[in-house]
Amino acid sequence: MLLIKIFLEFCKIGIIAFGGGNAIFPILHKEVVENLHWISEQDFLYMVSIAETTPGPIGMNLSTFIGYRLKGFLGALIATIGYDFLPFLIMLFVVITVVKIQENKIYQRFLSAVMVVVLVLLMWAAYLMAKGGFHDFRPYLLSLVAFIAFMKFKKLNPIYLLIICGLIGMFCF
Amino acid sequence: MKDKNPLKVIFKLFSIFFYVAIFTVGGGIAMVPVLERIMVERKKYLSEKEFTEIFSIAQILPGSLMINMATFTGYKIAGFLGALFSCIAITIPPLTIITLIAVFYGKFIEFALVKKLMLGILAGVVGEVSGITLKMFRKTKFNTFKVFLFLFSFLLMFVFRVNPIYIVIIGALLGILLGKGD
Repeated sequence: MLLIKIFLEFCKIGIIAFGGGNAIFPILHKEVVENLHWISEQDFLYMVSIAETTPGPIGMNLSTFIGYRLKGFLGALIATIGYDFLPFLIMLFVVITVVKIQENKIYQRFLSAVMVVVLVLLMWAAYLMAKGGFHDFRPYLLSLVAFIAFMKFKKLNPIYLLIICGLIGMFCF
Repeated sequence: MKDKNPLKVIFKLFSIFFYVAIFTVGGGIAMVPVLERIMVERKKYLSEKEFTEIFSIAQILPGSLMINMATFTGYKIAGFLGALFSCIAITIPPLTIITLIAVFYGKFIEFALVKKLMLGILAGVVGEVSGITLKMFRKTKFNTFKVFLFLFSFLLMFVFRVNPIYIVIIGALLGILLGKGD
């Protein structure tokens, strides 16, 4: 029964996953941390750090981890398939029917509005992470440095930036 | 690709996406140039134009960019089975890695040094997410409707703490009814 619940929950999150992995945090956080209590706040935040620095889409990585914590390997598999299931079907539908979804006026209105909401979700994601994870001024300072480096050095691979931040954290926090 | 043995093509697709999934850390965007190099320049499975089309459509649909690109590319080259096996290939490496991490997570996270590493990365993520947000702000062509929608969603999220799923749905409906697109 729990497996079915896991599958449906991640289906729901997958279909609303617009604007990249980072915009999923607030939604996942609300659902699996606050509403369902499937994972603790602390574990969720650690998992974000892991998901951002390992291969694979961030939302998928988070789904796998949460699924595993709930029901072992089968849970991980079901959560991951659930997360990808509806996007896979939608994409397949678009390819098979050859609808020019990007030229559809209603879809354009839909998408441009959703992307405005994504801005708010991203801001909330940053707020949630800082509020839940930062206990003194040092992580805030490091975030500021990372922000400036991210904006200034366009050629710098974001993963390296995160690893550097991690090493700084190891020695300075 | 129609002249070749379809099983062979599907196996090729599988190995390409498997490779891409292992070596691209950092979400779907990191995968795009690698996939383009293989699909367009080396294997010539797709033309430059087709690849650009796939990318632009995969980006605007829900779900991971990687899954969307794998589905589209796989279907275009080898039909339904191509799409399915491309998706399976792109799922196996991260699924395996994260499951392994989850198995050992409880033991490792007890070390203070690991916690500090995680916190350092998290601080970096906050910085990068802020940067991504700022870049998206600059790219957004704001009109009266969008300014209204932004303030309204901000209020719902930061003040009333509404479940973000509902905010996305409300935003989408308002966009369809009142928006003007881009």
